[in-house]
Amino acid sequence: MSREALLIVDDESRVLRSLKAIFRSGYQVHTTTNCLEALQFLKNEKINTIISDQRMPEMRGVDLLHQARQISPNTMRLLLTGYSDADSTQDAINEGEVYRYITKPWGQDEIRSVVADAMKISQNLFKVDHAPSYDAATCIEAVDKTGLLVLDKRVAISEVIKNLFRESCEVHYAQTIEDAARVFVRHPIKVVIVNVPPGNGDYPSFLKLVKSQYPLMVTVAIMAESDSDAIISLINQGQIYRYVPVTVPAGRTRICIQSAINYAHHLGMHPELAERHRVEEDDAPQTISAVNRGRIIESMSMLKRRLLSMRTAAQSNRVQLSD
Amino acid sequence: MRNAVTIFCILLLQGLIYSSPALPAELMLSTEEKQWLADHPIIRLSPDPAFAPIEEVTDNGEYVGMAADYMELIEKKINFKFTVVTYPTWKQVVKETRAGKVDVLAAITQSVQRREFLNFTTPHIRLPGMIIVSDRTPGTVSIDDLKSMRVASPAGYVWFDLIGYDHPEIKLLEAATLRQGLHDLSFGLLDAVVADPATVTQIIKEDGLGNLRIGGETGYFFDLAFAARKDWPILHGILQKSVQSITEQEHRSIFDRWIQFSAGTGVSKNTIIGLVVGLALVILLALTFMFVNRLLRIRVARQTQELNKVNERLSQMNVDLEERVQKRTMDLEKAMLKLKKSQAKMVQSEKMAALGQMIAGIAHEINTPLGYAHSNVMVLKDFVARVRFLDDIIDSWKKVRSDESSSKEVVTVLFREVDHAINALNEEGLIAECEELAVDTLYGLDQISEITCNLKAISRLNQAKIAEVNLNDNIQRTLKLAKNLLKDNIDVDLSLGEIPLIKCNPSKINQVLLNLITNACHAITMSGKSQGKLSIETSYDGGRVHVSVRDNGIGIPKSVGKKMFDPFYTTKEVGQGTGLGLSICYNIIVKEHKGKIRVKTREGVGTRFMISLRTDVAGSPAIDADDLQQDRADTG
Repeated sequence: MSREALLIVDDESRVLRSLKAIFRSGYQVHTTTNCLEALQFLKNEKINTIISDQRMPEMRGVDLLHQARQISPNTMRLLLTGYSDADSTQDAINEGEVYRYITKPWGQDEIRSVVADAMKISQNLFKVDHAPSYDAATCIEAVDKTGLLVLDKRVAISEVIKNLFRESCEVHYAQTIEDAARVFVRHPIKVVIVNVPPGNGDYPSFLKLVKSQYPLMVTVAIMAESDSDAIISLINQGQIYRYVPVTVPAGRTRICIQSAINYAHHLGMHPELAERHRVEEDDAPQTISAVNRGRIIESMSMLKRRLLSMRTAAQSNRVQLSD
Repeated sequence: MRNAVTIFCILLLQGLIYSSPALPAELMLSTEEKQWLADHPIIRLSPDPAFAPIEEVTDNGEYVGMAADYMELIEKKINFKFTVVTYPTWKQVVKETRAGKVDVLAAITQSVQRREFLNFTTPHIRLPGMIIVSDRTPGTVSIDDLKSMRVASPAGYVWFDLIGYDHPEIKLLEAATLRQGLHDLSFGLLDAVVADPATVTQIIKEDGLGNLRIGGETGYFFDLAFAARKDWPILHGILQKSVQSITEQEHRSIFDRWIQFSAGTGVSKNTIIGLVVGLALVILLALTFMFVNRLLRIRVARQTQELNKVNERLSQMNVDLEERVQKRTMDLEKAMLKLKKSQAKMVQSEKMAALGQMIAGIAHEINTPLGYAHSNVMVLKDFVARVRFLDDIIDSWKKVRSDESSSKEVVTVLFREVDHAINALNEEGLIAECEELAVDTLYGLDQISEITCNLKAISRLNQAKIAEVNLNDNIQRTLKLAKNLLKDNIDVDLSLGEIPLIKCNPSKINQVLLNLITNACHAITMSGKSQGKLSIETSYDGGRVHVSVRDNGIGIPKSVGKKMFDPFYTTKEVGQGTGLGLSICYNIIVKEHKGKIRVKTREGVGTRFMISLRTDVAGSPAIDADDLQQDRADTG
C-alpha cells in the first residue's frame, strides 16, 4: 500500500522543513514555497491532504485551497496561519471550505492528529472513488422540496428566506432551540440556517451540536462580525458550510443559501462525504441546557432515521428506474 | 382743567351737605339717658385717621374735619366728652369697633355687615362714589367699564360692599389707603379708583397728582352717619336725638368752615358763586402754574422711578450676566480640560491603533518562526529520545576499552549495536536533518528577538527621551515592523543618503514614520493598483535632514486640503482610523521638533510627504509620559 501524500505550502522554507521533519516518516511529503507549483502538484499527483499558509506572495492560502477544491475535491484542506483576521477566517469557510484551520505556532500532537484524521478521510474518499466533483453554483434539480430550518429570534430573516426559496424549499421557523428540536422531529430538514445574535453563545453551540450529531446536515451561520477565534471554532468544531456576515448584500446571502441547498442535495446523493465534515469536540463552555441538548440529540436521531429511510426508498426507486 | 375739577369737587361738596328738616336747637335728653351717660364716662370715639376733609387725625394727633365739628357740636348739646382713640387705618378702626374696642363712630356709612354690630343714626353727610381715572383713560367712565379695569378702593371703605354686592364681576382691589391708591393710579399701576370726591380732592391738592381726573360716577352714594355699638341702644338714641337737633345753620357753619378752608379763601358761601369767575381766573393761573410744575415733577419723578427700575433691572441683569459668564467660563474650562484629556487619550489610542495594525502583522511575523522553532525542538527532542541507546553503546565501548580480556561475544554485540545505530541514523538522514532543524530554530529565535527589539525601540511611545540618532536607522527599523503591510504587492525603494545625526525624540519620529508608511500602504491598497511602490529618501542640505515618503496610491482629493492635518479628520471608513494619524505627525514634527511637514499629492497618481528636521534643535515633548499616566489614573 502506497503511503498517503501530504503537500505543504508555505513561503517560509523553514516551516516546510520543520513540518517535513514531523511528517516525513509517516507520509509521502511534498513541499513547496510556490503556490503555482502547488497547483501543479495537485493536478499531477494524488494528494490526500494539503496544508497551506495563508499569507504568501502569489496568493492567499484560501485562494489556493479554493482552487485545490476544484482540482482535487478528495484532497483534505488545512489552513495554517500566523495571524487570523475576520476576512481570512470567513474566506476559509466560504472559499476554502477547509477541514481545519490551524494557527501558528502549532502544537505538534495537534497537527499530527489532524493530519492523520484528514489522511484517513481522504483515503476513504479516494477509495470510494465515485465522489464526483460538484459545482455548488449550479442548481441541481431536486426531486423533493428541501427541508430548511431557520433558527431566528426575529422573524424578519425567516420571512425573507421563505420568500426567496418557497419554490424549492419547505421553510420552517424556529425561534428557540426547543422549537428547532420540534421541527427536526416533524420535518426532513437538510439545511439549518441560524441567525446568530451578537454575543449569543447558544447558537454557535447549537450549530456545533447539530453537525456533530448529523454530519450530513448543511449549516449556515448568519452573524455579525465576530472575533476570529469564534469563527475558527465554527470551522473546526462546527464545520459550517457558509458564514454570512450580516452586512453582506441580500444577493450574496441568497447565493450562499442556494449553494448550501445544492450541497445538501449533493450530500444526500453521496452520504460517504459526511466523513469529510467530521468535527472536533466542542471545547467551549456549554451554554445550552442539558435538557435542550438531550432534545436536540434525540430529535436529530429521529431525523437521521427518517432521512435514511427516505434515501433508501429513493435509491430503490433509482434502481427500479434503471432496470 | 385740573383746577376746574377741583372747583367742581368743591361745588359738588356744597350740595352734599345733608339738609335735614329744621328742628329745635334744644336737645332734651331723658333722665334715663342722662343717667346712662353719667354711668359711662368713657365712650370711645374712633375717627378715620385719613378721611380729610370729613375727618382725620393730624400729625399732632388732633381730631379734625367736618365729622369732628359735628361731634363737637353734639358734645356741647349733650354736655358730654367723648374719648378719642385712634388707629392707623380705617380698616383697623372698623375691625376694632367690631371687636368692641370702639363705641362710637362719627362718620360712617351703613351696610348690612356693619349693622350687625352698629346702630346708625340718620346720615349727616352724603358723598357720591366717583370713579377717578388718570388722563391716560379718555372719556366718561361708567361703572360697567370698571369690569375690564384694574380698579381699587381704599381698604375697608363701603364701596366694596356697595359695588361688590351689585357688581360681583368687578374685581375691586384694595388700596392700603386712598392716598396710596391715588398715587398708584397716577403712576399707572391702576386704571381707576373709586372714592368720594371730597377726600380725593384733598389728596390731589395736597400731593399734586395732576394727571388724575374724575372719570364718572358710580351711581352709588355713601351717606355718613353716626353709629353706636349695637349693644348700647341707648347711646344710639342719644346720638339720633342729637343729629335731629342740628339746625340748618349749624350744618351750614360746619360746611362753610371746611369748604372755605379747602378753597383757601375767607369768603362765605354766598359770595363764592359771585367770585367764581374771578377766582377761577386766579386759581386757573395759580393752578396752571402749580399743575405744570407738579406735572413736570411727576413726569420727572415717574421717569426717574422708571429709570431707577430699569437701572435696577440692568444691574440685576449685570449680576446675572456675570454669574452666567462665570458659570460658562467654568463649564468651558471643564470641557476644555476634558477635551485635553480625551485628546491625549485619543493620541494614545491612535498610537495604539497604528501599533495594533502592526501587531497584527507582528503576530504573524513572530508566530511563523515560533511555529517552526517550537516544532523543530519537538522533533529534536524526539530525536534525542531515539538516540538514547547510544548511551548503552558508549557504556559497552568503555567496558571493552577498559577490559582487554572482554569476551568475543561482548565485542560482537557492541559491533552489532554500532552497526545498527549507524544504519538507523544514516537511513533516515536524521543527523543532517537535525542539524538543519537546529540551525533553523536558531534563525527563527533570532528573528523573533529582532522583532521584539524593534518593537521595543519603536513602542517607547511614552518615553520622551531625546537622543542623537541617524534617521536612516529609524526608517529601516520602522520598515521592518511595517513589513507585514508591505509584503504582498508593494515594492520598497530605499534611497538613504548620507545624513548627520540629529537630536530628536526617536520614538516619536518612529511613530511619524510608521504613520506615513501605514498611510502610504493604505493609499496603495485603496487605489487598487496591482503593483504598489513606496519610495523613501533621505538627504541633507547642510541645515536640515529631509525625509521623503512617496507612494503611488490613490492620492488625496484637493477638497481635503489642509484638513488632513486636523485632528479627527479621516477619509477612512469608520473603525479604520481615528483621524488622528496626520495630526499627530504634525504635532510631533512641527510643534515638538520645530520641523516642517509638507505634502504633495495628486488624485490617482500618488502622494509624497516630506519631513524636514533641523540638526540644531532638539524636540520638546508636548505630551509627556506623566500626562498620560495621569489620564489613565483618572479614568481608572
